[in-house]
Amino acid sequence: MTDSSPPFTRLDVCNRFLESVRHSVVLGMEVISAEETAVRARLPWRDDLVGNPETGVMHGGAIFAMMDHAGGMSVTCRTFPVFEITPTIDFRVDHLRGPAKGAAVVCEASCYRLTPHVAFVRITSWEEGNEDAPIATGLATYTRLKIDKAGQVVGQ
Amino acid sequence: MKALKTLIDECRSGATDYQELVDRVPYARFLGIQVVAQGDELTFVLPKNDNVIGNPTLPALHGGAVAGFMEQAAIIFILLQMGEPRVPKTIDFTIDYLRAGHFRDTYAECRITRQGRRIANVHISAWQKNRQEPITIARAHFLLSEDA
Repeated sequence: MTDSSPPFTRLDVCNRFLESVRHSVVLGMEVISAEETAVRARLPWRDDLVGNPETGVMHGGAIFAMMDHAGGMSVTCRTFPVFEITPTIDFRVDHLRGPAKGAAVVCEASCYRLTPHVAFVRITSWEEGNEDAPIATGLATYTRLKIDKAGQVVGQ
Repeated sequence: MKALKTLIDECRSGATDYQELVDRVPYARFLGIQVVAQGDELTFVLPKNDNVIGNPTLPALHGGAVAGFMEQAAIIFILLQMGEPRVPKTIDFTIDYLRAGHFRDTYAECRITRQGRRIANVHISAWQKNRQEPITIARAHFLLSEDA
């Protein structure tokens, strides 16, 4: 019997995708889990990511960047094991409340509809350990670029 | 360190360079945001910089870095143009990606579409080659402080 499953997991691909994107690396983003239906990522609080110097709250832009990249990864998990380049078409984020100073932010992204050209994604963020009280929700679309050798981006 | 409100007042009166206000926000320094004033017009600059790269093969800017730059441009714009005494809270931020962001300097300008008592609606446009060809446009709502 031959095993046709790829020699790498969705988490492997997401981690290689993360490593290839310098801005996400310098933000300190980490991938926690990667399943077909959802990707979880984490962004530790850091003093250089603060948006409000009076409160120490992390900037919405840093949270947005993690949510955007996690959204792209959720598409990768649907197209797995094929890797595609998926530029964002549009993205809306609602900031429900500010995360506490010092708290890492965790997000979960889910591609709930995949068509031949467009992926529809929902993303929710919360403070680590406080999953029941989201700090931000996002809704995004990504387009699927079927570029030959796109997998080289993640070393496939 | 002087209070944020003092710094904003000094910037608005011309006593202090706008860049000092931009640099007061750690995330703005992290991205390397600059502000250029021509008369009353403010143009924000995201200088090309390895740390804002997303796709390494093109190379292209990270959409999240461009979004963060535009959100912060709008926040500085509100502080300088409207005299908000505190950093406004972002309620929502919606961005359309129209063109690839190449690895070069990016510029942004802001326009207040509607300013209510508590909420401001701001339009932000970002470009690289010329402002008639934006790479992204965004719309955001901000919550203003009560004692503005």
